[in-house]
Amino acid sequence: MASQRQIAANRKNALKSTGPRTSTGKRRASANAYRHGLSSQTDDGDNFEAVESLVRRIAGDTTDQDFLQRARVAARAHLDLARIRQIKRDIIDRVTHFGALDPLPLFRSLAAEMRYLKSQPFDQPLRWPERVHPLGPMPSEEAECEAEAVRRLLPELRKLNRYEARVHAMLDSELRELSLGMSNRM
Amino acid sequence: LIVAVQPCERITQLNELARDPDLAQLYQPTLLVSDSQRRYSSVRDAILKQLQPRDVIEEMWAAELIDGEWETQRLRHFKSLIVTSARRPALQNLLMVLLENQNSYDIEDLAQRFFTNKDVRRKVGAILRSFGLSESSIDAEAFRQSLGDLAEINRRLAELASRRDKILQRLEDHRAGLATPTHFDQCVSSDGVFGDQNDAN
Repeated sequence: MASQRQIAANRKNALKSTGPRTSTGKRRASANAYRHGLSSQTDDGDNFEAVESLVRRIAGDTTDQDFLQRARVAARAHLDLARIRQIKRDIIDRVTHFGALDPLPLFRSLAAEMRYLKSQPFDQPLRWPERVHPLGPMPSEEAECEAEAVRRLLPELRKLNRYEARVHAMLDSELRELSLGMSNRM
Repeated sequence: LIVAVQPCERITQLNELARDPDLAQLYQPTLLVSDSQRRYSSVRDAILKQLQPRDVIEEMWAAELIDGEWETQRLRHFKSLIVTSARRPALQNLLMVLLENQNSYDIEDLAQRFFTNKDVRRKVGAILRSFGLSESSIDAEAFRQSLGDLAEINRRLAELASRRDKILQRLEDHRAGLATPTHFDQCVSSDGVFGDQNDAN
């Protein structure tokens, strides 16, 4: 733990900090409050009815604004988790069918493309080579194919799981508070 | 599942949220093509029967439990499939090491046909035996090659197990009227004794 002298020194040093000075630093700092779309809690869009329906079911006929607000956050988080599950299913389906999320390049580099073009006869229509996935072809069996898709997607799924864990923590926190609110009202 | 089922007159109909037209879409199971709808239904019904959710909060927890449990089962199945799929590249890798002077196309061909052709299987078996190995060496190599993927999946499985335990604990607390505010955890030190939040820092 910091001593009183250290705390005083830290406070004194902090006074010297005047925030970002360069234009790059200022630009970066201006984006500190940036939020990506997935976490946006302001617009329920297509989910409006579902959110409101869930809020009504959680809150019943209460007029307690705090309770209603928590019910809304919990409903959004619950719907978000369902949306994440759908996204996961969709990207696994995509890789199952196409072998990769992004279109595969025909050539590894521009030089390789130039070499290929030079090797082609001029008097015949140009034939492009087959796209070959660097990770090899997908298995033929359905379940093995999906397992392979999941294996290829592990880095992307890790990111989605991280996001999902945050939403889950939010849902957990709100449901606990709602549960507490319910038991206090009984 | 360890939540004790207590008889209660206020038990809601199972899957009540799923019957709400506004929420029906939300509670559609997100299954992959190879997932069995019948198995999913049996997992869902078993969990709902065990938990018997009594209110909407419990239904939400139950829904999360069902999806977590289904993902767990699916990932466990995928783990064995991943190792199975790795057997061909594993054999190719083994043969590359054993037959240093052999053409790589021949090795690829051997590894490819090992799983479909009996003669090739016998031939490869003989090669492996001549180096003191057996077919189980292919499984070992396949497992070794898949270790990174399996570890990643195991991390996810541990996360899901921890989440399941947490939800079950919340359910028990909710039923016993023991739910605690979210800042409670931060106020309890590691030895379970209450302390001032400032002290903890």
